[in-house]
Amino acid sequence: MVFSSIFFLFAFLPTVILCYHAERLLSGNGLRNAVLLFFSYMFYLYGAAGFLLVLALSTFADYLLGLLIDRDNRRKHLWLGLSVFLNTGLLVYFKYANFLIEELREILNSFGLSFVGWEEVIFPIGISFFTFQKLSYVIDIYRGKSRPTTNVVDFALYVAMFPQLIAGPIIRFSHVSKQLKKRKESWNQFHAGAMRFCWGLAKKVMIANSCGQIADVAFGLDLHTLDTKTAWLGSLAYTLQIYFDFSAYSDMAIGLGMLFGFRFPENFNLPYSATSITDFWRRWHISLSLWLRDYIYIPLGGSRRGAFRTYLNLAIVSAVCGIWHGANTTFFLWGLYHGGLLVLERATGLSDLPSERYFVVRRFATITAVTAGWVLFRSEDISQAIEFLCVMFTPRDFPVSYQLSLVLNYRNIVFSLIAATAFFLPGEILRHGSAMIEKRAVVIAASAVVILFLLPYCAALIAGGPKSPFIYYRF
Amino acid sequence: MVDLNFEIEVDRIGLEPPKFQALALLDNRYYRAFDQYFNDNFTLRGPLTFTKNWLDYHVFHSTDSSKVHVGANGWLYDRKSIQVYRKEACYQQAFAHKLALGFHAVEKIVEASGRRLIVTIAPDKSTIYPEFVGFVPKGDTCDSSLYDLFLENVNAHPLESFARCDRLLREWKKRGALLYEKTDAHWNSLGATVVSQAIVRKVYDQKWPYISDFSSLDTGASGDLMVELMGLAAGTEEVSFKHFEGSDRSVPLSAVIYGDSSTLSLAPYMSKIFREVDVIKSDSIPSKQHGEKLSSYDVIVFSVAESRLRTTNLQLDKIFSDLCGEKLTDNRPWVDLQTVAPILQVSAHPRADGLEIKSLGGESVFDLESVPASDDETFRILMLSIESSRPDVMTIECAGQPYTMRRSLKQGLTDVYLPLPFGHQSLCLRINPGSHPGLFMLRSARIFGFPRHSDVTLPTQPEQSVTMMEASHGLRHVTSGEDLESSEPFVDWPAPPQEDGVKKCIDEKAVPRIRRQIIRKPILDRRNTSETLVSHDLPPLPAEAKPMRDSASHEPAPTDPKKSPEEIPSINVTEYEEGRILQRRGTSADVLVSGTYIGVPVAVEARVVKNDTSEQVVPWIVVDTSPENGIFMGMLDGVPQGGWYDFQVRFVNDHNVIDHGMHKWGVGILIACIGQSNMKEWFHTGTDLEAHPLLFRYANKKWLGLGKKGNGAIAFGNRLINRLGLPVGLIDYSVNGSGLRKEADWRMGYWEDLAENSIYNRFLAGVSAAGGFLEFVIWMQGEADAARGTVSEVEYSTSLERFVTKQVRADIGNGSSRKNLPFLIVMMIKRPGGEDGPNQAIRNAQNNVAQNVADCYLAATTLDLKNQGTQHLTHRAYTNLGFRVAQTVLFLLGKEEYYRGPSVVGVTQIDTKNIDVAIRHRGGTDFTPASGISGWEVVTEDLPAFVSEVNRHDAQTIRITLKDPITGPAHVRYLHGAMPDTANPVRDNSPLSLPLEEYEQKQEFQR
Repeated sequence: MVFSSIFFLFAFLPTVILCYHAERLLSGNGLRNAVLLFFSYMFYLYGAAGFLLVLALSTFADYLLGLLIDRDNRRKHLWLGLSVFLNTGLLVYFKYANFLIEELREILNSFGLSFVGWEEVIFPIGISFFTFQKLSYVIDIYRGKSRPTTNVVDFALYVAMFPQLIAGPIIRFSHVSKQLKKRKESWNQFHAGAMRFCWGLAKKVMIANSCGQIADVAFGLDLHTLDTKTAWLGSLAYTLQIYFDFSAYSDMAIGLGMLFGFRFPENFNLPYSATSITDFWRRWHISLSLWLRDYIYIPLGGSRRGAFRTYLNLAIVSAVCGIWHGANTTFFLWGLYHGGLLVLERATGLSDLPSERYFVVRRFATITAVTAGWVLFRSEDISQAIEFLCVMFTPRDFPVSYQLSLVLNYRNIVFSLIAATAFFLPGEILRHGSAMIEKRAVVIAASAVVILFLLPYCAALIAGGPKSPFIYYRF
Repeated sequence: MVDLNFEIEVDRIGLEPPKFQALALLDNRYYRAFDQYFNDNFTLRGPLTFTKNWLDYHVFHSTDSSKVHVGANGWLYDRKSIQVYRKEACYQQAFAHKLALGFHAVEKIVEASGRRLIVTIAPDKSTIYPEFVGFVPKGDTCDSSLYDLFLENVNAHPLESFARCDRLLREWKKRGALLYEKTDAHWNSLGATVVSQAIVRKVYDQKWPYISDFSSLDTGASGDLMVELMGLAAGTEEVSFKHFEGSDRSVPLSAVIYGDSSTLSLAPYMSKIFREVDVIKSDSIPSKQHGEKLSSYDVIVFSVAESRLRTTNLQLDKIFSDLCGEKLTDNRPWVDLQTVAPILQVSAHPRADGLEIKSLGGESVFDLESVPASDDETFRILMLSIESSRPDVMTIECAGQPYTMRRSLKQGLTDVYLPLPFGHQSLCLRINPGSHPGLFMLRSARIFGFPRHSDVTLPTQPEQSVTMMEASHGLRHVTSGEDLESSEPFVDWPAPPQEDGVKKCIDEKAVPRIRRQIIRKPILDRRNTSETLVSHDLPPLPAEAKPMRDSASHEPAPTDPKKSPEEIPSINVTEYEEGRILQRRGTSADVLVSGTYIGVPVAVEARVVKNDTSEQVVPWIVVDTSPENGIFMGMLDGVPQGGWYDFQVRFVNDHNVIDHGMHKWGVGILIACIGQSNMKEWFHTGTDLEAHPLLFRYANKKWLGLGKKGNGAIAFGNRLINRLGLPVGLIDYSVNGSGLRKEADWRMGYWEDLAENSIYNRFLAGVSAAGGFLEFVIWMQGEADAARGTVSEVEYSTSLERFVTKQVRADIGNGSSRKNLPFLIVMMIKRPGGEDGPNQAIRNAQNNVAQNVADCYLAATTLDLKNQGTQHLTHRAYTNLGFRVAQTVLFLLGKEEYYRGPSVVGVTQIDTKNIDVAIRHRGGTDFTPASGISGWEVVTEDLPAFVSEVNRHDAQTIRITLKDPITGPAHVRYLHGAMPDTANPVRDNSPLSLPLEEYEQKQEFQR
């Protein structure tokens, strides 16, 4: 189920809110987590019906293993290993088996052998996110950083909470364990959550989708008819699309959490205001970056084992980050590309420069490098990526294609220009959440605008426009 | 103003919510269906969509509609017309040329029949009002539209019937007239009047006075583009045929107008000058759907929109036969078929009834030379009468001209009409007779010449004061075929002088292609222990490549043993694909054998040997008594069913010139296996069995062995082969998740779909490639339609019957000995979930069709077979199913006495607690189990009665004992619904343990 769908907005969400708050009135919050869990499973059922059992059983397994790790100190290595094996096994099977088998088939074919009998595995949505959450849970227990919960409903809700089930943010159990037990819903928080959700919705359906239309045409053009300006237009449009699309989802997830009294961590912090790639990764998909840092980079030794090992660790983590996005060579190379840039910055000391030095040049260079990376990320295969990048950096001029002219309408141009302000924002501004909770006059006025104009317009775009799921739904 | 009083468009299929089913909750398709249903029926969807589109248009001057272009100042254009506006049609020169020639041909044929043709091309709005199009990037090619290219052709060779109206409209525009509304795609009433006048003046040879005052006209704006842009649907469906009665019935003339949506607006004016006018929305003359007779009209108007020129389809053969018929085909000049010159992979041989052409397929071409071109005085049409052994497509090109014509050939005789291009005195046509290897018989080639100026009597010039009505009386009214001889519109064409040499269309290119073609592979005669290897060297161009008038008369000559190495004769048989099975006809098949050779064979003979032992199956038979041009072809009649076989071919006059086919093939039974996933799994579930070597599967246009995969298919095929000793080919075109009806299209396709790339047409393409004939079709489907819950018994039954009779049997050759191609229905399996009603409805419908449609059979009942707990059977169940279906096939082939299990023949209430069910055996004599039988239900007043036990009473009787006595009406049923209890089903004691068939007694049973 997509947040920006009619069914979610007009049927599912109102029903959940109604039931959740009815439960508060009727049973005094005793079953609120159960209510949320029920609807979270319904949410998952709607999008990946055949895999609900996978989610539920693997959740239960990790629940038990968490308890075992905590209580069976002698064999906690074993229980952790089992959990890691189960979770990564499921992830590898569902997400990478097709890719690996295809590679194997090609290798065998090159030797004149054939491989038959493999039936394509269907990818259950959200598995990358909830698997990482479960792994963080058992590893944190193993490390003694948190205690397991004995309440299976709480744990299942932590894994499957519908606001962030499909595309994050990746939440640590320690962040929400207290909230799962004790949280206080308030009108202020509800209001702020609703505003945050609407803000995310507007970002998605107005801005990200408009940029997406331009990017889709540019990346869909025959490479022989692609010229430099179109390539740059397409790559910049995609750069904006992926940011506004994913950050919109995170805004909506955080907003939805607030409707039910939860506070989720921020996932983005003005990434296109970064002054270096290192800085970019502190601002982009923060929950994934932190997860990779805490559960892969630091266990590998981090930066404590000398320069070479640090570079190697950075490269490994970046490659994992790339392949986490999907079983495709382009993702892997995108990860390595960023890893290479991180190593370069660390080796040259660029990452240690004060942020105000060479500010304009560094921001320009960073956004250029990031944009080039997104070309790799967006392309269907390596050859398309290489050709696209060649066109970007080798001047070539053709007339504007007819297909592009169709999407370069006023609506897409206006929203894309609004989106482009993301390139020019200062590095630090007020956090949305706290601003929205405070009942300032400007917030109230903004609320009125949102409710009277923005929300109806978003609903109109959803009802009348083409369907456009979130990019990160497929990861 | 735009009238927005329309209904909100409903273009979705989910009009009913999917039925709630517990286990369907684990199926993604259920949610997709529900989501679609919700979206379709969401009350606010219409207003929201309207709001979005309104804002897009009024605020952003844009739209997401794929059919509308928003130009400057809010002007709307048909998106298709913007492509025309971009003027990048240079690659369509050949089509423009062909179109102009086509109109010339239609004009002459129509005039020859004493009628009048008027052709107009309705300019697109962007052609008349380009200033409001807004920003549209220029095309990167030639700055010509198809209309421009068409005009070039028409200017070079004037088309008298062409009424050009773009200039006229521009002139009116200069005078300040608004001819197209801002929100309409087509001209308004004023524009239509201007164009109508142009047409009328053309009918009357410019003698009709112009009317210049249109001030009283209503513009007639419909705002069709605005309606489309706003996402609204017009309340009334546009009709494609409309009849208008003229305002004065005494006017003798009638007219038909072909065109598009804009054409209707011409009708009010046309109906004033004709007795009656039919307006047909079609870009094809005659239309494909209305069956109108052109001979019923006096004037034929074709008013095609500029942006639809590309889809114009002039069916010369139908126009000719409708308007001229047999009368005009006599005494026309004949083209000397001796001028046919085989060029590549083709040979031609004169027979008493025409010219026999042997073609190896898509590469094969021959030239028809010295065909007179059309010129300014005479327009000519070539008619080829050609007989084909199968449906095919003939392609004709003309050297030095952008001329490519494709004509469909039906099985049997087809008359092909080709307008001949303007040009030099004579033309050379290069013809590929068809894309498949085969024999063609060119019966005749005739030329029809039409003088430039026809003598159709024109109306007298009306006086200035004469009304439209009065003027129309002046047009001569000629009924079909009247006085055709006296008018004699044809011009004879003197046969061209015979030239001494042969002038090929493209000699330089043809020669190397021929040489490439005849590069030989090593020829190995496996019977000969000394293994003769023929040289690989490139031989010279064979003497057979000469035109047939040279080669046809050659004397049989033995090959010369002293030839140079380049001239060593050789022969090469065209191979079938490895493992191909040819459908038998009776107990044998007539097999086409063809190939190429080098040398001078008197004749070519062929035989069939067994693939493994080289034992002779069909002795040497001369298949081609006149091989020519390096090609031989002929039929090996009566190749007995069996396999595997190989071909051997050799020269009659030199038995050392021999080729031995390497690919095995056979003559046997072809059976299509279609349906959805359970049929797919029949080929994929289970590895318990090993396929017989004679069992092959045809899928994705490849013949493949089955190996060990697919219990169902292997059990089925093996049993047939073991009983019949024949190769069996299973044509696998099942599609997972496919429905029968459109409502059951879960985006995997549905079988009633006739779209070009539909699953049904892909299946047909596969069958065609496998030979076009089948002996059986097995259908295993229904789950998709049941899952929707909206397909009723009657609907499925009607659709399945239509699918069998109107699609499968109409499109596929019947290779069986029965009157109709047998269609075997495997009843839908026990479901893992779902409501009883929809599932029972589909099964009932399948039973209905099996009972009521000739040569439809229930191939197997499956309710007693175990499914995997999901949608599909277990691997053992597939094995069982394979045997059952094979039993049905064997029964139909007369090899078995029975194929169905027992059936219920009567139910009797013994007392208030005991009911006896009488059964009739077909294969068995008794049944199991003796006790604890499951699956029986007794229903009283819509509530099931509690059944305490069901046991065998005797070999023909099952006794049901109820816990509580029943008093009122009741009925009994067995294996009813989606998930009947099949723990202990009734099966007979025949070797196959066939199940008792499901049963439902809807009336009160006998007391």
